[in-house]
Amino acid sequence: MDSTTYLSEVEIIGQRIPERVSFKNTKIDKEQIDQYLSASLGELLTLNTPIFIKSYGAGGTATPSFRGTGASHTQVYWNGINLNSPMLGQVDLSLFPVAFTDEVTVNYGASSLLYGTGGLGGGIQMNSKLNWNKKQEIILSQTYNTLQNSITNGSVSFSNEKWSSTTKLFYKDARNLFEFENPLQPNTPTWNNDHSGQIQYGALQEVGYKINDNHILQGNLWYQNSERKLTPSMDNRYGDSQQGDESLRGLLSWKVNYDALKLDWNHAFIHDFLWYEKLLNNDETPKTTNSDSHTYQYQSHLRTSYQVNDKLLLRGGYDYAWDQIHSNQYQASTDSSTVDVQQHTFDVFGGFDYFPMEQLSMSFLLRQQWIDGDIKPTLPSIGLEYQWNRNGKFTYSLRGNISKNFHAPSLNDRYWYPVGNPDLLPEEGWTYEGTFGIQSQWKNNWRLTYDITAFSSIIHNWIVWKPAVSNLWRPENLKKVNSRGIEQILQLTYHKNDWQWIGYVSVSYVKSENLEAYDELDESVGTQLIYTPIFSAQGYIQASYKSWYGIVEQQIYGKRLTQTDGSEYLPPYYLTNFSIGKQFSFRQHRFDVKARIENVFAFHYQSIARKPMPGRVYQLTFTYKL
Amino acid sequence: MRYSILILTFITFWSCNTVEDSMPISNTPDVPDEVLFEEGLFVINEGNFDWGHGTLSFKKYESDSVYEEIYKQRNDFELGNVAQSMTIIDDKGYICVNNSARVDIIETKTAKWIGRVEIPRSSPRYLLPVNEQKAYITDLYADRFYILDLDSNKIVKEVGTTGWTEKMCKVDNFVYMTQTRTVFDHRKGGQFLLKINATTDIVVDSLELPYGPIDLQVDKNEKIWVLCNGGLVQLTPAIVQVDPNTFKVIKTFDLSANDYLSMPSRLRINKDKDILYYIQKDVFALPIEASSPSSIIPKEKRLFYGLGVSPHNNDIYVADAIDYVQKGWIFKYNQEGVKLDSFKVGVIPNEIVFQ
Repeated sequence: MDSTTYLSEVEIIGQRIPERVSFKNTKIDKEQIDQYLSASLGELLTLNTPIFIKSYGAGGTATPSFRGTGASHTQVYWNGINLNSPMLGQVDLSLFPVAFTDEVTVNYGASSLLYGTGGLGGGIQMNSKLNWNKKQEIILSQTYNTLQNSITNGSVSFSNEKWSSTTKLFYKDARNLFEFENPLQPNTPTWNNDHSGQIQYGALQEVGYKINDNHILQGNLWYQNSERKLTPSMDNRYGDSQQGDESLRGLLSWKVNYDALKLDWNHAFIHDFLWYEKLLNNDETPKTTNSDSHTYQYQSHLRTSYQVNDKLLLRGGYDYAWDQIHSNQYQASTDSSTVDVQQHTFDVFGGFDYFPMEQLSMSFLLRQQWIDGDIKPTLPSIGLEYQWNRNGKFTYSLRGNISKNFHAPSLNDRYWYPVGNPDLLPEEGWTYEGTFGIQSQWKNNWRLTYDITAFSSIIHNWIVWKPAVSNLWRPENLKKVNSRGIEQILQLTYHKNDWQWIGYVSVSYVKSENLEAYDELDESVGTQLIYTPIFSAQGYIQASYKSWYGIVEQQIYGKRLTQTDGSEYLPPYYLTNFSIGKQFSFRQHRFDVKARIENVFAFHYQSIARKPMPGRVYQLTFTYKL
Repeated sequence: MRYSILILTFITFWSCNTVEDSMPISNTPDVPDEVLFEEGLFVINEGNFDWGHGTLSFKKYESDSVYEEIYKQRNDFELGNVAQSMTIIDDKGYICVNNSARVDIIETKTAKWIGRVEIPRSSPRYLLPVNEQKAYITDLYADRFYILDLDSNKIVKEVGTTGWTEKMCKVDNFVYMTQTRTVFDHRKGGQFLLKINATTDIVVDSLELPYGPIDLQVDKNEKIWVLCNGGLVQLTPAIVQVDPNTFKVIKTFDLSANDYLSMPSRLRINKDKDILYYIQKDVFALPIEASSPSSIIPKEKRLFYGLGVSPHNNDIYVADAIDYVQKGWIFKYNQEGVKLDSFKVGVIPNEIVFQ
């Protein structure tokens, strides 16, 4: 596509440690990311992967459900550093600007075991790629939309023989303002969604220093702050809560890259400040509830791979995390002070990829974790891949893998006052996965890839928060969840003369249900987990002709239960987006103007029950590149 | 090009579903139009905080039929969340919907909506008719109670307190109101029974009580019994008997608690007003002349949440909300604790209101 010609050739010095053979992962590359510079990671994933993103209103918290699992079962990594909050165990995908990443890799299920534990659904990697092309590049981008949102991005990068630097800035002033009809109120009045505003800004500095051809030192510093009002339910005219998420992440890494040996050694310091405030009454200076939590983390990761010969690749390393939480929620509120909770997590892992024949490969990995010195379950995973007809028109492959994974309780699960349950067991289980794939060679300007994957996992000790005494919720190992399904991904690319077409479709069918009743009246057994669609599909078609381009995106989600006994559900929804853009050049200055319509058909839908979602949104983006 | 403009114009003005099509769909069976909600009991189901909706269930005393979501079915809109309580005054039901900051009024016989009292950013808990003209409404967070004019359905006055106002009763010309503080409140003290002059609405006296006074009843001798939940930290639950005339504590029963899981809740009284009931894991009975309470309905695998005692025949109704994200159950027992019946209601059954 034409926009790709705008990209400078990126010379990749630090060839990364390869992903495992026979385990499923997909990559969203820079070209794709450049289309969504103003979007959040949640918005990008929702369009490009089968991950279901649950959104608490426009601009609200967005949590993933990957392969029918819970929000804490998707692990998010930034250059190898785990970003899941040790307090909550999960991430809010609305907080990561796509512009701050150069490449996103999605690791399905056990494929995430290479990076850490807990990704029962899978993992998402946001990686930076430094620019070593010895050119200077400037990008400025401004987006407006009819929700009265303004998003500004800027980036400057340059490099020479020894140094490379990229600076990125992001500012979002999102009012998320729209009108909606409210059938929950008498006579269906029209209300304003006027309590969803968000101010978010951030800066990212990345510096690389080449010691020599084989060694690079890299430093990344990422500051970000977000303050937003939380969307009230349609039952409530007035919003009363707001939330702030501030974080500072510093990362230092040493990358070694020889033909045979690759090594990546990371050290990171992360400080997250999370606050929540709810106004409790209508006084001039109203009473509030406040929750303030500071998380301090030090992480260190070593990942290596060594190509012994053509047939054998060894890999190994360690992951270490020290978490400290400083929160007013870990002890009685009658005491207004805060309390500190600490946790040390240490993992070692090792394994190999083995290629006994040209068509056959296998991968084995063993991971062992200790939390505060307590040994956790040993996690083996093994996969096999067989490819045939490699020189024919289509290459076929069969992949299968078996793995064990577990997810440790979050620190809130263990320490939240007074309900935290220190005796909680980790959620754990085995996953089985098989994939049949077809990949065509470039033939008559066409290229096709198709994958169909079936998976099944049973997760024991699934943690659920449930009242233990009137209105006091407490985490317990209550459920045994079987999530199983079929994912299909089809990608078609067509090039001819000035035309380029890319088509992508993914269709998933995932049953994720509780197998264990905690008493005879519990009707959640055999019922799909709440807010988890059985059927979902997403796809896009991109077409470009000379300097023009257009994209049509489609998302379809089947019904989602809102009650564990299936007594209430949200109907299916269909969202269609349409973008059209043109690129101009003037000497070395390049411009891109893009018009976009989101939810073209103004489809009425809800992601969380009774939270209003916007109808049709018109958006305009200007991008300047030098 | 012309076609694409046409198509674009077309889709811009076309929307393929209505807002009603996007709302949550429940599998509750329809309530036949001819059904009237008489000679039975209402169950107020809270619904999930924030994204759920409160519902009203109704069960006739003399039939097995349970009607669910009767408010939504008769009005085509929802009750809001969290439905906390319903007070019946003559033929009207006043439903306090706490997170939606309002009191909705229905005709109890038909469940038809009559009107609404909106109190912005309030959290109404309970309503008590004080005389023909007015009622008091308590609030979970606001350090005050409201005075509602029953003719105009308008709030005519607010009276300041020093904490969360909860349950009320009226003895002679005084209203007695429990006052406590939420777990978010860092202030010390403030655990009172307030005495309010029902004519002037002035708080004339306050009596200090053990931590967490959250429920009360009046016995046959016009003595007031207050259940104090003891708090999460203090763990000093108690039942206190108060003489409204001298406004002094007559006696106190300590309900020992080892941890927050044994926090008591709900205080109810029988038809003759001489036996009190409450939940402390099990359901306990405390005859007003007895020296100690006794467990009459063991919890077993249940988690008891709501409690009601029939003013007609002393049957005891206990609510279990299961996992609080599915429809709950009501169990009916006789006074001896023998199980008589059970029926399914809405999500998080909280209050049982007898006609």
